[in-house]
Amino acid sequence: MQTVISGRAGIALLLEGNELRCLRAGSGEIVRCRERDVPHLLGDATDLEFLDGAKISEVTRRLELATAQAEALHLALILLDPELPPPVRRAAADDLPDLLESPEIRGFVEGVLFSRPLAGEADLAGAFAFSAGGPGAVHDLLFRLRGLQGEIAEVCSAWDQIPTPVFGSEPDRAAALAAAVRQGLFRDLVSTRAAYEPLDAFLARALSDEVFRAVPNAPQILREWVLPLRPELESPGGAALETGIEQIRQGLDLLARARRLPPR
Amino acid sequence: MALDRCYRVAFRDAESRGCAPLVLGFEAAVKGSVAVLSRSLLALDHFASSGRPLYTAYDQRLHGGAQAPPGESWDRWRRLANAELSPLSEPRIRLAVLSLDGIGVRNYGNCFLVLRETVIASEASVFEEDSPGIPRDRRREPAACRRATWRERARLCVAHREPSIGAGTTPADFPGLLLRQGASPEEDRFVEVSVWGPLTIRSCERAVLETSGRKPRKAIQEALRRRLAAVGIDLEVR
Repeated sequence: MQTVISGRAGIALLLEGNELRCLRAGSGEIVRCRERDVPHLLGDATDLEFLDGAKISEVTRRLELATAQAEALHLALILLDPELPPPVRRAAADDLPDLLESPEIRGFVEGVLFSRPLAGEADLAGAFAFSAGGPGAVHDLLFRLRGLQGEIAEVCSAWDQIPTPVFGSEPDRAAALAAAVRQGLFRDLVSTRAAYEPLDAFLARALSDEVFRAVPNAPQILREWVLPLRPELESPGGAALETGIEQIRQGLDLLARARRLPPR
Repeated sequence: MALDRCYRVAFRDAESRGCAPLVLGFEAAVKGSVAVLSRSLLALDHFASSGRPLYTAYDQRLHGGAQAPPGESWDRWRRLANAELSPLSEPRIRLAVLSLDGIGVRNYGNCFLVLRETVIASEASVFEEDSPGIPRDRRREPAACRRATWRERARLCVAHREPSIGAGTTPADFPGLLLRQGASPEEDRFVEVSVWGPLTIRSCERAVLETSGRKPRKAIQEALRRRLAAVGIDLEVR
């Protein structure tokens, strides 16, 4: 069964054989639909997630999670939006803590917010004020967002410097970016930089991420991404970095093969 | 021409059944029909905030995820994308439905946006698809009889809905005749509106939020109300 999920539309489309069905978030009821319904059901959503072979229970879980993630991200942006009046922003600050309790939701929100510097119009000071006195999760998110803007700008700039041919084409580049953001790689790299941790640990994690590994040319993308962040290794150590990436990739391949072996 | 022929056949049938005045009433009502988009509350507020850098900058980071993954097994989804009808594809056509009461297809979302006729009239066409529940009479419905320009929409609807109008039909039944809300999307029956070109929140004249079912988040609902108010649109909550 193939599934397409949009948290923003709050819908999962399930295709099995010739049968097309859909599941709306919060309903728990799977109903039949037609191909002509697909564009209506997805609307303008571009936050699509594709699953192959997932069971209904997993689809339901992923749909509810994707919907909560999309809501949490939007609430965070409402909180930062200076054009909205205080009661609306305060309501967003009130709704966010429950959502941010889930590591998967908090990770998604951070994954997106840490993937590029804040837009100039974002009102961080106001967001702090409206979340003051509430549970610490929102304050913590905002604090990290403010404190990491330098690293976020570096990591975003390093990604932007990767030549498009490394990805293949512009659509491939966009797909790789979406995968890196969704899988939290920007957040991880930002955190790694902020903690002065070695980039090898980040690379190992990134290469072991099954979704990002499926991106064409993932090891090369990662190599190009971290190079500007380790200028001392560009030459002659660029080769050392590449060797390191290759060693990690080979190790992961060995591990994957070993997992497929029957138990002794 | 084909549409005229279908319309005349339908009207003669209505006359023979003594329903011509009702059919004329239906036609007059449909002349005032509107195109309605159905969305989730979140999707609608996202649409309303599009163009704001704070929102679009982050949206673009996830945009590439709209592509179906590589591999033959996802070809069917790519075919849907190639139909230029879905967010999997760009540029695309936006799809709405015809409505007499401003309510769109509930199975597609609980927020409804009524599009301004002045914005879409020259860019929209309407389409009636076969309904699985109603046997198709091929003599009366050649393919060309299923599509019409926006201005001809009332004649298209008469050509297709006339058999459903009987002596017991009242004007109060007209909205349900034009758009039948099914228990599932498969059972919905509607006339589709294809709108070419870009749409923004300013392309809309009215918005309705139905709150039955999943409780909307207050912050998102109020944010939407503010964004709509900023462009002179009221959010009607039912």
